[in-house]
Amino acid sequence: MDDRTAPPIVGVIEQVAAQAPDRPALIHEDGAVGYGRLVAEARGLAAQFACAGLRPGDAVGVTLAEERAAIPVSLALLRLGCRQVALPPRDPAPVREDLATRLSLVAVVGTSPLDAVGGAAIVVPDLEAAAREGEGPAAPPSLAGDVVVGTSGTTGRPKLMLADQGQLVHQAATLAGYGTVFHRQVPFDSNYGKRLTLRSLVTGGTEVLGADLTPEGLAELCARHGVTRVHMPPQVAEALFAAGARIGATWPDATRIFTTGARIPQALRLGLQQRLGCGVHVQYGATEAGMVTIAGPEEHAAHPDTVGHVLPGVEVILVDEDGRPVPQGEEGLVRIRSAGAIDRYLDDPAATARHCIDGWYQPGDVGRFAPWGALLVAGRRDDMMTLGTIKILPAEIEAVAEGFPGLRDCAAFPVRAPALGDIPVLAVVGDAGFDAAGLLAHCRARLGLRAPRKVVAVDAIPRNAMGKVLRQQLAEMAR
Amino acid sequence: MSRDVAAMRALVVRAVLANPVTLFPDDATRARLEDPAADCTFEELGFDSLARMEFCIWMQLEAGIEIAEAALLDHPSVAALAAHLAGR
Repeated sequence: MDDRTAPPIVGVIEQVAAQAPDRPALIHEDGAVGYGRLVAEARGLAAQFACAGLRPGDAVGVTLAEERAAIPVSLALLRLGCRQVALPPRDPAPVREDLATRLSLVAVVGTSPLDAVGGAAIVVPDLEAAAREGEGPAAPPSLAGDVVVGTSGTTGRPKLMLADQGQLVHQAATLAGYGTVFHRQVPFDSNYGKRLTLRSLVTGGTEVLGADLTPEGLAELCARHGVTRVHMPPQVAEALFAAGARIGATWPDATRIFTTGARIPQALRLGLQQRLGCGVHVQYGATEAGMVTIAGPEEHAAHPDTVGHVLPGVEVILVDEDGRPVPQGEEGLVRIRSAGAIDRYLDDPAATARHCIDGWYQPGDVGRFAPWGALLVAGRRDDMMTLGTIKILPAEIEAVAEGFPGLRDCAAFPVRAPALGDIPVLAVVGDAGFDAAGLLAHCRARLGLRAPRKVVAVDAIPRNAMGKVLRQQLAEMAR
Repeated sequence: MSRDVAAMRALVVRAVLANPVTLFPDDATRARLEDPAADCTFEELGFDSLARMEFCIWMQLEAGIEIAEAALLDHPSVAALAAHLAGR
């Protein structure tokens, strides 16, 4: 499918509704929402928003805790051709205020006048009325509606970008190939969550809603509704692994787990597969580039650190610091070209110049291709430590440390010494009586000069919402 | 001042013994290392460029003392380096 000429997202969903109005689009605790009903809600809401004065091209915030309402609201805004941005209620008011001002929001769709940040008008959606009002014919949906998404950065304020409709649902068919009854432990008002829901809807899939579930609750939900694909951040995967002994018997074998991150510890992946009896798949990609690869059990069996083969329709090349392609098999900076990739950031020419180069998106990851064609990602260029002339990536240290007896979690970070460079140090969360000296020797024996020189015990590894290690914070904690 | 030198000498000896790339010193060298009145050159201890780097890393991480590899060449024995570090 060429995404530049693809029909609007809402148009595709309306085609599904025309053919199978009763097929469940969403399943929530009170029952199922068929495609016909969802489309009617989106049409009715779009009419309500138009009455409230919203016009195509307007930038509109959404502050709704209820995903059951947030999903049709999002479709309605796409339908109208508005530019939408999630202002999650869990975000502090100043953060939402800042975004509202930065994007010149004309309105916020919310439930309380307090949601109207940055001088925007408040628009309160009425879902029941919308379902009634939206039954009749409607104007064709717009292709202009887009979504402002932000990166879950590890430093500074998030970089913003626009995802058009093609980018939002890029690789939808690929994901549907892994299962069409899906659940996510990622909120809809995150970029990742919203894209998963939209991809499911344009492929006629069924989404089972449910947030903040216990491992037992998640297993029960998947079994009850026949979920074939469940997406979760690494932290939820870890919690499932920890509960694996209790829930292993109830976890359906057909419920595949999808998680994200360039490197999920092998012990976690294998342990989850063994305890739950299901496949674990790791997606590699970026908010800016969409999905790039998916590695499942077979890919991981070939190499534990692979992120898998590059998906059809996506190109990856590896270049040196000057942008020249590196010889086959050598390490280089990852560059991605895809219809799912952005070509600029919003109001950030410096970041655009750094990451969007000659039609490629360069996330700053360092990788190489295995002889059999799979991509291996070693870590982030910005995380690379230079000790004298020795280049060290935190991920290689963490890979060696993981699995050491009593080690629960770890992350490598640099202590900067002017005369020496970056001294690699390993922060660990260990069981009582953890053998730090033993771990140092273990790393030294395997990594030589690239080994950590010190192990510091911490209560927890600081991470952002997507599970990325906040290394700067670690360095400050260790000071 | 002299007490500082003695404390610094003891610290330098700890850094020498913790060095991960040199061989553990033989008994006679070890005795000299631990005798505050004796001295021992880094060359005798088998220090090469890598050992000097590891020494500096240990001083930075464990004692918070910033030191460049060149200091071990300019002050090439345990006592000389201790005197230098105590005096700076």
